[in-house]
Amino acid sequence: MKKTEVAVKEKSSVDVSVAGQHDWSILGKSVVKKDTMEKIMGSAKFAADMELPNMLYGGVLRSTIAHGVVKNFDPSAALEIPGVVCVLTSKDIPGKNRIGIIIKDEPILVDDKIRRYGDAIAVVAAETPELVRDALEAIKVEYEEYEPILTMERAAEEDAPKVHGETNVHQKKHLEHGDVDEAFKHCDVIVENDYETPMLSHMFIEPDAGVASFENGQMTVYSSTQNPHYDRGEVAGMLALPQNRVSSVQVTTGGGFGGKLDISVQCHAALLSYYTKRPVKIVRGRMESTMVSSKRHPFKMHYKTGATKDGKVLAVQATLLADTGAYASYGPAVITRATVHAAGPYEVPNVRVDATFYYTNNPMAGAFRGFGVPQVAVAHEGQMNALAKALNMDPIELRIINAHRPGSVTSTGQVLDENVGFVQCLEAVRDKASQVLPPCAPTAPNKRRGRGYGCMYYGIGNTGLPNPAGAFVEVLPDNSVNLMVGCADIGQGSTSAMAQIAAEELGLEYEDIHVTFANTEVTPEGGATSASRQTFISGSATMLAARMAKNTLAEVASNYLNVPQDKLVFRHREIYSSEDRSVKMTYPELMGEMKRLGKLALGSGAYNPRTTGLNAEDMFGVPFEVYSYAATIVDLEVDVETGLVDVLNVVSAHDVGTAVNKQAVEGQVEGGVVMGTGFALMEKIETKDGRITNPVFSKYLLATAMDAPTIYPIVVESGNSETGPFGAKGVGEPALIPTIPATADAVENALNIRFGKLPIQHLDIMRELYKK
Amino acid sequence: MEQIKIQFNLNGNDISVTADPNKRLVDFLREDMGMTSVKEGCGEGECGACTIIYNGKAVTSCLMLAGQADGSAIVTLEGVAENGQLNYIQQAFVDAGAVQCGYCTPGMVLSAKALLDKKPNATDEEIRRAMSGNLCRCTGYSKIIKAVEMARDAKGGVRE
Amino acid sequence: MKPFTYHAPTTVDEAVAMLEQYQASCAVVAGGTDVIIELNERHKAPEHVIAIDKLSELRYIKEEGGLVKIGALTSFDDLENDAYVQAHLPALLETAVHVGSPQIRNLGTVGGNVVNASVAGDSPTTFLTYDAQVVLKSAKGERIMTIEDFNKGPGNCAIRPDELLTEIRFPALSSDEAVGYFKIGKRKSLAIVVLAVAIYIKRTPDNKVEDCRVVLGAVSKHPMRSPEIEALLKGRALTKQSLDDTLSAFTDAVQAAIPTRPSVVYKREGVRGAARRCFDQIISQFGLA
Repeated sequence: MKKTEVAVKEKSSVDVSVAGQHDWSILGKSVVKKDTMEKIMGSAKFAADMELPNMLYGGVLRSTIAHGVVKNFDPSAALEIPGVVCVLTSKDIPGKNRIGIIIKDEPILVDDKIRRYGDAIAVVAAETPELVRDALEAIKVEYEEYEPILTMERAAEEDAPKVHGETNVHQKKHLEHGDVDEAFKHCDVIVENDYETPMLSHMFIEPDAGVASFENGQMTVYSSTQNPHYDRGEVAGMLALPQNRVSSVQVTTGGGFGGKLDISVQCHAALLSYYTKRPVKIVRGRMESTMVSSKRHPFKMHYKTGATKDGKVLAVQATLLADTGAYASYGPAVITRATVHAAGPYEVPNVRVDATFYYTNNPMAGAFRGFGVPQVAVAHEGQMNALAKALNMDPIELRIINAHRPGSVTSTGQVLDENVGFVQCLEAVRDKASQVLPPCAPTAPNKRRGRGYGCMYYGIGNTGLPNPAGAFVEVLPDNSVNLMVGCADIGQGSTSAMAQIAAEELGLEYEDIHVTFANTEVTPEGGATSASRQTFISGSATMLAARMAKNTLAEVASNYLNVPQDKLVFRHREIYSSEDRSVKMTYPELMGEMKRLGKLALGSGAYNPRTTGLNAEDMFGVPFEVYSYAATIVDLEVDVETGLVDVLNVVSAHDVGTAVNKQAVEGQVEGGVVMGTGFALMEKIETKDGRITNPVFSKYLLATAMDAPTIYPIVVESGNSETGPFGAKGVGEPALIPTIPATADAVENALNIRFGKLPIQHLDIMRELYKK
Repeated sequence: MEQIKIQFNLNGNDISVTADPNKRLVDFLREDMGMTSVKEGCGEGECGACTIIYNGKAVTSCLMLAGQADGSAIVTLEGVAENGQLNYIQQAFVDAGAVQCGYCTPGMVLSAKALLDKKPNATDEEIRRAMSGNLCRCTGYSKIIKAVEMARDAKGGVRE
Repeated sequence: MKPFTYHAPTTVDEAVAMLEQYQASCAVVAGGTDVIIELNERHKAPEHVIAIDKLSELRYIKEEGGLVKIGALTSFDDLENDAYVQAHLPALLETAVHVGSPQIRNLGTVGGNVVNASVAGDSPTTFLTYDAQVVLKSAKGERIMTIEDFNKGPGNCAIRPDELLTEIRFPALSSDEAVGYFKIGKRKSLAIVVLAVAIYIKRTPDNKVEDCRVVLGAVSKHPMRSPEIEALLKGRALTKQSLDDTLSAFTDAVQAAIPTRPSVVYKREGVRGAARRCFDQIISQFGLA
């Protein structure tokens, strides 16, 4: 039994709203992103492009077993090779040898035992990359192997060897909302199904890389990363250095998608540099990068959904099982987020979710675009589509009946505010699809055509946890601006979004803002570029920092113009009275006045989303301040002679609150759509004895330009600016999620075959079509 | 190991160097010639990040040896801009918003250039096919394809 | 990669002399699309590397004395853009356009593709269907061998370490002969062969199958002819219905070839679709559609 109380967000301690002002001068414009010029000219420096004087190259000796211990380790032959400088093991670590964003359970270099294929045993530095390879080949290692835990089923057994500590259960979560058992008794229709999603690889095109340089007691680590501030802490802990003696700098990063949130080369390069007193560069090859970076958690799900004959969903009961692999990484975030979002973007009065994550000796699963929400979306949308069929209802109509709306209560009991644009998304895709999609008829006798539907909601920021970010602003005498934000830009364009937000708030132009980002020596905490949180959280911090600087400016302008501060408008490098446009001054005039008075226009801002922790027993609470929504329709054809699927058209509508940069939002949606079709149809990490057997692009297939569908992105702006910078939410992960269930649904509709297990590859289709 | 002499034209400049033979063309261009726009994403010719224009054709430089540069004309992204100004293909990438993380961008621009140099009037289908050896994980290809179409249209089919 | 001495011969004679000298201690780089990966990953560590990409004398497509002759260094892009191939060899064109990616087609050569003998290779299936022969040159002279004898696969062929494959040749086709080719790959570009079918048919004046060759690619360890299907096809009328009636025999052939392989579940079904499209191409080439 469950109480009927609801959880309401705390009143905000800081105000990021801009009530009434929607005629923005900079926001919403498709500006050219700040980093575009250097990237298009070829001058952008990625980590692998860096050269420092006297630099060495580093490499990692990795285990070739999934579970066991190192019995013998003999580096002597490697050390005899001229040009090989050192071989280091766990014994050489002066500080802590455990890392991990949430739970510190991963060794930098193996000390107690090996828990996965590819665990780091030793690091090597040498004069050239080829010498590193020679050294790694020359090191002799003998192992004692233990039974590897390769399935969740085996992990759960009492007599199974333990990967960590006393149990292989990594975490369990239970969500209880309403009275599920009673509710099912009142349902006219109940659908019950199993779903399974695969382990996936991020396959960012740039393999992990970094350079560390230890000079005059200061360690500087340049790397391809999504969270330089986290990296700083781990490097400092490893070397027992104060955090201010470690500078962590994000260099141009070639994609992340969550796969560059964990420590990759940072600690290894830093350790080698610490010992050799020379800069050390480590560049992973594709295979190493894919083998040891985190993976998407494979899920097994069982869902039971009940509704009235009118289509009102009364109850959802879900069991989620996932394999977190050898180390926790972001597992605790994934299980929490998956549990919270398990019922989907619908007002379901009775929800029960039980989730269990297991440690195994499989590859480490962690953060990957969506933190478990793509997996549960496969199931909750599969259920909605099944329900629509069972009720003989239009799948969009069914969703509109149940959709979150302003004031709806979520399955954690959270009362939603005005910032909910889900129904608009549903209506927008339906309207657009009716305009652009041709009739659902196959183009050849060997083809079958199908339409599919998928939706999602996505909490912006970390789940029920503090996750602040900060920003510094200085308006210079020529009214150019230095903006310093911790937020790592991995190509999504956060740097430019921050510049737009600062320019809008200060009444300057986009070009006036120079952004220094993700450099721990000068930028404040930014937290992770994950969870689609940066536009919202770093964006809010940026706005607050700009507002603080603006307050000083406004004070001076107010005196100069003799206009009350609250009547001043800052816009396009001018400051004027909102009541009389002719009472004005230019920014250069204002900065001249600032100079005369000896004032500096400085600002700092910090923002932490308004959330409350979740109750341990039922997950009641306010896990997120705000949610993004999306709805997608996929149109595709299946060739029944080859089993190959041709995704033709995708219409995808996203409620992002406010689009800071429309073109960038579209770019996120389009990229997410193609990744989503890959998830549904092609991608899957295969393992054998814990070793990934397809860690390369020739075996782990991504869609090419010829495979990509025509995409119709729709930006829905629920635009209420109660929350977020100018009402902006987030889109990075939402972009991916709805396409996955929609693609699966379209294939199932084309063939009238239920799969439930993703990906639906050509061979799965042919097997089902020609089942003997 | 004997060094080899390599004479070739790089981005319009005649070059004569000696180099180690046992490295791939991608390594030679990056390490010896400083052309770091040539990216390595896979080392097996699958991702296209290391694409260069070699004697007028787009090739993956991770599948070639340094010595194969000898006697050739090679264009990397460093050589695409004209007098420090964006060339029309680069400009179209900027206008279309086709750049996200930027790692595939050099190869994408060069595949587009190899096509449009030869076929200024390339069809939409030819464009998609010419770009199909370059993987992108960020954009879904939409704005990249649009950029190449815009470049073609901007040029009005007039060959450079 | 491990250190090696680099050679870039400019004539076939020079190249053959080097092969004679270095024998098994050398690796030959033509297009390089396979061997460079092996060198880089140290799966191969030869003392000598002979890059033959400058042997422009081996880059040609011509018809001579009733034979189509293709120089070993002809790239797939060359094939795709060759007027003769476009006009007379639609199946070879179809093969070429579906190889790898634009970059791979620019680098990859037919000689390399045949010598590499990958199970999932594109052109060996087609060449076997054309009843091709390979020309092998060495310091000792020249050998000509049928491609059927040449293919040992996987990754293996009947070339000696001192030999260079210089040409692939096959009889030019008359208007009474046609070849169809269909490849199933997992995506539209950068796809290796999951399964390929190539079919040659010679017709009688009254449009019946007089002679044929049916080749299945990526089924066995090398492209494989199916005498059973060929026997079934002979004498049949060249109509869609009559040809399509043999499709179940393709399933039987695949089932018999790889009864225990997990991929048989897919290939025995997919092969019918591939074969049907080959028949469609052939009927269209004969102008009977």
